[in-house]
Amino acid sequence: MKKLHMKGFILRLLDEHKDGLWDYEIAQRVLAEYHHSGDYWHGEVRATLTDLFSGSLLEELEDRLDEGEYFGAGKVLVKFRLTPFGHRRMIESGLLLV
Amino acid sequence: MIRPDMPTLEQARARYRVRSVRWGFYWALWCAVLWGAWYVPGTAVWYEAPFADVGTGGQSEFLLAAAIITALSSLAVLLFLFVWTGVLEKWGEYGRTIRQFRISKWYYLGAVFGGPCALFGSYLAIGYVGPVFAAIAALMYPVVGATLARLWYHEKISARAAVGITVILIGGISIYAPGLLSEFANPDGGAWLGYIGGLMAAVGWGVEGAIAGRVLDVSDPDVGITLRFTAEACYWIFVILPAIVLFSDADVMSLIVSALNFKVLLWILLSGASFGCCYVTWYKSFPLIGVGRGQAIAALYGVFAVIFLSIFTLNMPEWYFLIGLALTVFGGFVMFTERSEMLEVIRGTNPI
Repeated sequence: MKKLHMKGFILRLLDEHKDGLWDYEIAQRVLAEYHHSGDYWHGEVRATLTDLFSGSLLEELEDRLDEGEYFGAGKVLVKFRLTPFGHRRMIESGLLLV
Repeated sequence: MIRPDMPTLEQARARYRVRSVRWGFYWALWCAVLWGAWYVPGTAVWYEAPFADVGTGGQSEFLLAAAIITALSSLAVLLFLFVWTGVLEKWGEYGRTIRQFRISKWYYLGAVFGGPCALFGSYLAIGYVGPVFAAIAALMYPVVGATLARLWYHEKISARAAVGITVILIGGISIYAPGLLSEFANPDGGAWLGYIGGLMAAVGWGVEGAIAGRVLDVSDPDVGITLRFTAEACYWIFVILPAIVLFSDADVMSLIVSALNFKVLLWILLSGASFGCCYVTWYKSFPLIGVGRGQAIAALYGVFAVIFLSIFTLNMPEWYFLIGLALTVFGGFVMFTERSEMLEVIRGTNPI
C-alpha cells in the first residue's frame, strides 16, 4: 500500500489507538515508517504534533518530564489522543472511509 | 536521571506552550518583513525594458505585461520552494501529499485566489496606480481571511485579537492614506484597472489564507506551499498564457523573449526569493496561531514596505509614518501578549 503523508499517518495511528499514544511512541513509528532518523526528524514530528494540537485535531491526555530518554532532558513528553473533531476532519479529507 | 538544573514539569509545560505560540508569531513577523521587501523588486521590474514602455501600447498591452510578470514571478517562487523542499528533505512528503487529492485539491484552489487573483491584481495595482496604493489595498486582506475562517470553520477570534487586527489595520491605513491621496490625484491612464487589482489582491489573499488554514491542519506547511505554487505555475504556463496567445492579437512570445534580459530576470529572481520565503512563513504561522492572527501580524508588511521602499528610493517617509508605525506595532503587541492558554488551541467547536 502507498504510504500516507506524515500528518495523515499520525492521525490514522491515533485513530487505531483510541487510548492515545505518547509523542515519543508516535515519533518512533513515524521515523520507522519513512526510514528517517536523527534529531531533525524527531523535531519535525514534535512540531507536527503541535500543529495538530493547535488545530484541535488532537487533545492532551497527560504529560511528564523527559529525563533525557527521548527528546532531551527538561522537555515535556505528551500523550495525545484523537478528538472527535480530528476524527471528523479525517473523514472529510479522505483519511478515513466512513 | 533528574538533574538539579532541570525545570519542574510545570515550568517545562509553560515553556513548551509559550514557545509554540511564539513561533507562530515569529513566522508571521518574518512574513511581514519579507513581504515588505517584495515591493522593491515587484515595483522595480516595471521600470525595466520592455515593461517600462508598455504604457504606450494601450491597456491590453499593460494587462499582458502584468500577466507575464506574474507568471515569471510564480516560476521564480517555485524555483526557491523546490530548493527549500530539497533542503528540508521533504520531496517524499511532496509526492505523498499530491496523492491525497482530497487534501491537495485545496492547495490548487488556493493557488487560483493567491496567484491569478491576488498577485496579478497586486501587479496591476502597482503598475496602474502605484506601490503605495497596492500595499494599502492588500492590507484589507486579514479582514476577509479572519471573517471567512470564523464563518467557515469556527476559528476562535478573541475580543483581544479582534482589537489587535483593527488597530493594525488603522495603523496601516494611516501610513498610506496621504500618499494614497496623491496617487489618486495623479493616476496613470486606466487607473480603475489598478483599483480593481487592489480589490483582487485583498480578496484573493484573504480567501487563500482561509483555504490554507483549512487544509494545513491535515498536511505539512512546507509541502503545502510548494504544491500551491506548483499549481499556480501550471495555470500560467499551460492555461492562461496559451489562452492569451490563442484568443488575443498580442504578440505574447516576443514580449516574453524581450523580458528575458538580465535586469528583469534579476528583479524577478529577487521577488521570487522574498515572496517564496514570505509565503513559507505565512503558511507555517497559520496552524500555530490561526489565520486571523497570522494574517494580521503579516499585515505589518505595510510598515516594512515603507522602510524598504525608502531605503531603495532614498525618499524618506513622512512624519505621519511614525503614527502608523506606533499603531501597527501596538496592535501586534496587543495580540502577542495575549495569554498563551487562549491561543494554544486556535479552533473550537464552540467558538468564543
